[in-house]
Amino acid sequence: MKSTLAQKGPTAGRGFQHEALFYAGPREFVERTVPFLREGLDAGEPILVVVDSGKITALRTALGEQADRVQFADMSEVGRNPARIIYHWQRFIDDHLGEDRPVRGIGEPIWAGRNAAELVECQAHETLLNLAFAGTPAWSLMCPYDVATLPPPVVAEARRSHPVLVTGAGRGASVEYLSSHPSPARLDVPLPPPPTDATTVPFGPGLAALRTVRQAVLHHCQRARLGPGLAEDLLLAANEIAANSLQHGGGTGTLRLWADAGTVVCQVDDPGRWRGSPMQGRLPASPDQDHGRGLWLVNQLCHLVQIRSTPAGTTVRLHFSGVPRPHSG
Amino acid sequence: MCWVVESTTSFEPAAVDFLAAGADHGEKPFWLAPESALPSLPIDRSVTRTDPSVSVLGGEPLDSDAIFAMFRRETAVARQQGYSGMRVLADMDWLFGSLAQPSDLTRFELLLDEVVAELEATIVCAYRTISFPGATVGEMAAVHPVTVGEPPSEPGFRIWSLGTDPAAPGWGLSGEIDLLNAELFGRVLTGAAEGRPLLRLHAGGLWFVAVAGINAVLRLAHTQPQLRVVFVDSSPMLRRSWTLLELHRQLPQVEFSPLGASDVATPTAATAPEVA
Repeated sequence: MKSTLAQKGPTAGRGFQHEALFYAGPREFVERTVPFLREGLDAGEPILVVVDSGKITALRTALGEQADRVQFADMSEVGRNPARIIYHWQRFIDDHLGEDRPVRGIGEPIWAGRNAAELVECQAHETLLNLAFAGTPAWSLMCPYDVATLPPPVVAEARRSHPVLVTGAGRGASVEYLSSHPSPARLDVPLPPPPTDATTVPFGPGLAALRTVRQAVLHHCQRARLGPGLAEDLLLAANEIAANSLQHGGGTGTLRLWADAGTVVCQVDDPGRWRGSPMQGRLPASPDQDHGRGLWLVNQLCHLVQIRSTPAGTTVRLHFSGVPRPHSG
Repeated sequence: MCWVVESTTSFEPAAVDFLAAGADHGEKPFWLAPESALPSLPIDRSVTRTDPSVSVLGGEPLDSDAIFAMFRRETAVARQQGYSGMRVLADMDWLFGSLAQPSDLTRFELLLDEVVAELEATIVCAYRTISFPGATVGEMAAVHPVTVGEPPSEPGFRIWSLGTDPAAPGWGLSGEIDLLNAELFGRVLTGAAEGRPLLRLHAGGLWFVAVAGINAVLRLAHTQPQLRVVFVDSSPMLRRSWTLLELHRQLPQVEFSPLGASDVATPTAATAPEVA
């Protein structure tokens, strides 16, 4: 049974308010998000909305002139890799949040078009939001879920990862919320195995093996006729993950490369145990840090990063969209 | 040029041929070697032979400025004598007489590269693998634009002076930087930057730089916060990594600029003086 929070709205209390909005279809989306936005606009709060381009257009129309006071970003770009989303919010609150001026946002990282692998990582992201922004001053983030198109297990997970739910009945605490909820992207849940015909290259020990890894990646890119932009990204990311295996993952590893429905997949397995923090790679390192940049860079280069680790070893699987990126040169 | 010498037997005949080839360029030949080896060198009086640790340093520790002053003096004398400049075969075993530490050598060779460019000299530094540790020989290969022979450990990159002319100053870079050689890369950059407000790096030949290499640049920026670093004509990959790592916001003193009027070709063995 839900308990009811104060009716004053999401920022009435202090701290980070993370709420899931359940809606059904585009019209309900607008009907239920616009009051949230107008409330913030009336209070003079900075607002960022990160949803798909269609919803951005709908909200702009609904808000009229007030839309000019709202920042919009396309989640299909910002959150192509869900691991990039937290930093986007962090920059927004760093720029706008003040003790006397809360901020609010709407972010929809999960939609029906996400594949199963992306969905798990999106759900992990939702859990990590609670960790990332615990202890921040008042800001409210509404995460819309289209219950008309999303499977029930996805909606059920949203109840566990969001302390507050917003439905047609109003706003209330989620009794299913688990503050110490393990991420759905649990490190110990194995990934589907790679295809048997994947390019497979053992490497290590010794850091000189990194050249072997890069040569193998280049050779694969040439055979697969990948564009220069994608080849660069793959080369950089594979090198960083392989370096981590050599340095921290037991000193040896296996590189695998294959294609999957227009996506290039690169996987590195090593015998080590992943010891990174849950937030690792989701925020850029500060200039005085001597470490912590590799996974951040990998998250910027890949459209999805999956990390799984058990006592038997660690697997890092990188996905690169087949959509050509213009060569940065 | 760095000559990795594995065989003493073949070294001397090749060295003689190298010096003899200087006649075609009007260069005055010099052979630097340990004092004990000077009398038995297979050369005639047309080749000036000396041990700088004795003739210049007088047995004192390595003083790069003194050595380079000697090169400048000898170049001036050579030109007065009608030569175009110096052609030097340096058997780097002479360094043992200078009590030079491995850490001194990298800085010495970096500065020597600038002097060579300034004097338009031809200098081959021969490092014997039986005399120097493999890692040291590898480092010496890194700070020469061209290497002849196989260093025991391939450093993976090269750095060379483009001269100190304000119109085309700085250093050329080629190769790849990763976790294996990032520490050396950092030391080399530190040596190249020492005492200067600006480090200009023509990085068009540096085709791959991992995060470890970028971290080396960051450490340099932290230890020398007043230093301005300019990457000229860097690879798109390096520039992209730098931006994705948000370093363009965090370290504005590190800049990227396109190639200017001075287009400098990457040295290759084909353009180096021949060593048989």
